[in-house]
Amino acid sequence: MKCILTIIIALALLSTCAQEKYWVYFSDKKGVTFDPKEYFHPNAIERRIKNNYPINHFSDRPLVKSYVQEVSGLASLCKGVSRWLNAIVVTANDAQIEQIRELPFVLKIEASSCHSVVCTSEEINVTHNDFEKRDLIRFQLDRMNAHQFKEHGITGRGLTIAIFDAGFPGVDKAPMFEHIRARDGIIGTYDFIRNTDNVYRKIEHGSMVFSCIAGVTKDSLRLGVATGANFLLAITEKLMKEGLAEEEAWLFAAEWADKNGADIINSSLGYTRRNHFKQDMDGQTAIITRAANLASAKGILVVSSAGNEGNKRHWMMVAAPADGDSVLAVGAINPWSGFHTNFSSFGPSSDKELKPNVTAVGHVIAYHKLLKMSETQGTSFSAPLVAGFAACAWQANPTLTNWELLKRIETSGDLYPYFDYAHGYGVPQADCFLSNTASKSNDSAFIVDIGDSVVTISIRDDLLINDTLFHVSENHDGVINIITKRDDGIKIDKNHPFIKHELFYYHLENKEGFLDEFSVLSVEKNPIVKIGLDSLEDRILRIHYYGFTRSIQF
Amino acid sequence: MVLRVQYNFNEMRIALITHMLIFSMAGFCQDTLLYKKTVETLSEGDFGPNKKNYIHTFFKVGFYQNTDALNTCLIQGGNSFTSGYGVRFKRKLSSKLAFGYDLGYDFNQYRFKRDLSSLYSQLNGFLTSDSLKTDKLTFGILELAPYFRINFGKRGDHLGKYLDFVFYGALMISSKHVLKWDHPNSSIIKKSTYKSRRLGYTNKLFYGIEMRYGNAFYNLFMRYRCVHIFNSKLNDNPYQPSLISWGAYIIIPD
Repeated sequence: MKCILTIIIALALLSTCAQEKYWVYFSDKKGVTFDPKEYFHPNAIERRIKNNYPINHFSDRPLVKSYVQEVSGLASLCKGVSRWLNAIVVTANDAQIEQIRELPFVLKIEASSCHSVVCTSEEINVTHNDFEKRDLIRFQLDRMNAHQFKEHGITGRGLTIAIFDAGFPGVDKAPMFEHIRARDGIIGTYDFIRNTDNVYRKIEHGSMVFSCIAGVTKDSLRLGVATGANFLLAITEKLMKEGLAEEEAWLFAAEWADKNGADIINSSLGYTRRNHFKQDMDGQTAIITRAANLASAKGILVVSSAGNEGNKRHWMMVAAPADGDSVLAVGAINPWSGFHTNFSSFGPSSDKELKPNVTAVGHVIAYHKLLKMSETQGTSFSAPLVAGFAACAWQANPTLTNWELLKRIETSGDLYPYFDYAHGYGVPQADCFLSNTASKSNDSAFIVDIGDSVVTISIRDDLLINDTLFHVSENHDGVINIITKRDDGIKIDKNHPFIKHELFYYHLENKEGFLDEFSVLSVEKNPIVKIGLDSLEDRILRIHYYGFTRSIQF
Repeated sequence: MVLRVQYNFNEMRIALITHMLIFSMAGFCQDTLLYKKTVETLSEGDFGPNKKNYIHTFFKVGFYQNTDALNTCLIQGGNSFTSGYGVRFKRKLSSKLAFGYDLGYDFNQYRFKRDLSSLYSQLNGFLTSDSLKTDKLTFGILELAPYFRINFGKRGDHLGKYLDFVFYGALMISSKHVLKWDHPNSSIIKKSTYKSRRLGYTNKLFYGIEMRYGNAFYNLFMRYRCVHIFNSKLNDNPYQPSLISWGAYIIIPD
């Protein structure tokens, strides 16, 4: 009986006396001295000037030392300090937190929490040999016309990209990153989970992401486009551990990246229901989103993966920080089908902002520690493709602010001005940053017949491209193209696995300005679609095909 | 071609015929590759780990505690275990409180160390003099376990940290007792095995209490069975297997 009692008491103590984690916010920064020129990297100051952001802003000043000391003395443990939020994270029990609450300089206290988080997408490897792998490598950049950057000698030179991830093993040795190491292109590293400089350890997800920004194979094939950029590598992710602690680590890493002159942050991490409810995805609730918005306010372009929740019935929507209104959220398309891949999270954010903003190929070839490179998938890899793209776009247009760049990337999307909550504005196109392209909007591509009860939409005959993807066909050599079905129902034309498919898109926008529904159709013959008039009342029907977009107000 | 028309309830018959026509034309139609209603994405719903209702499955592994108390059989610690699989239903009452029940199957095994010669003499009188090598009792039970839960700390749509107070009732649905002897002194037989099923000397219904500490994907549990394994048919057997078990549940999210 003694034994039972002991164990029961131990279990009870474990839960009731367990210390909680809190954010303690301070009311002021009185008497703090701060020399921005000494604290910031020159790039960070330059960025602030460019964005009309004060170089001695309140949020950049350090915390009052005595406040930090006093609160740390009362709490069990101080886990971190944030200049941006003027707050510290502490672990404390109820009695301790009540004492802290009484301090005159404490503005407010927010409970934090500790929950496990795992971010994965199921693996379906389709490429079977090196030839197919090389095809996919080319396509992951060609889909953005990114070869044009290379042709213009644009490689993101002069830009600094901070990558926040779970670990970067192999980056210090692998030939794929040799060109970056050779010019000391990795200008800073920090592990915010273990507080050390060594990031070349743990999960190789970060190395894979890095390769999609700047990796080059031994035969000079580029996996990403920003091969000339500088990099800051930070570990903020700890699998199977505290979810909110990772969001906090992300905040500290963002402050560190800002201090060290980062221009772009790539975050292939997403936090969903482990930490939040759907209504929290409103762009201002999650700590990581608030941190991303603050980073953006200071002139950094934050590129975030939209999330891999598209096929999860209890979430489906984007993951923080992709919900931030100043965050460039990147969804994923399937390179074989050309449209949304099933795991890519859907928008909008809970405050109905358009998310994802753009998309990129979500099935890629990336660095692999043992195999040198391998096929993998996830919005984790579409985001770095766009982050690299953004670095090149920024190099080509250095006068743009981060917000202007974000908007330009959106308008460069191959669906623009059409958008939906699966693709955003589509896949950004490099040529839009290198030359003035004509507007793609053109009403004459469509024939819209408004009947008594149904609207019938057809495509002009000369524009009707019968996409081979969805049909068995015979090529000029008399060889039947083999079309196979993948596990997820996507058909693959093995003779032309990676081509840009011309599909028909439509959405219905309501009076409040957000979409009620959207759809993608393959195109075979006219008419393409019929929509009941009753479902169009007080709505805008927007249709898109082959670069042409038309809006019809009902 | 894809037809997408919204119908009133009284037009259902027309809609049905229309849809049949459309499906019959499927071979000539465009494929709808993606169709999504925004309301589906934004809908919070009331099903989830920290929502009104939640169901998840679990694996359970536990071990019997060798307390060495009076009238308790000594058991082999690692080999005396319980393992199970089940479904847990949860209904949220408030941000801190919830209740629910588990439905599950448990497989239990005891390997005894203590010589239960008095027991075996009742079972079969001719096998008592030589050395006993194995004494293993296994049984399967179906279990219903209502519980009351107290949650701790702020959390998203997540199970978080909690303490469960559980009462359980169980029905034994299968049982087997295996006894193995060596006979080093016998010239006729070297080893013998005695297996018996549908044991008449075990109780069929059990109940007890359990306390669980939960954190995210696992629970640590401590269980006390209030009913002995062997029933009154073994009147002269003073020994009973351990009443206490402890271990962990591994939660499999939906």
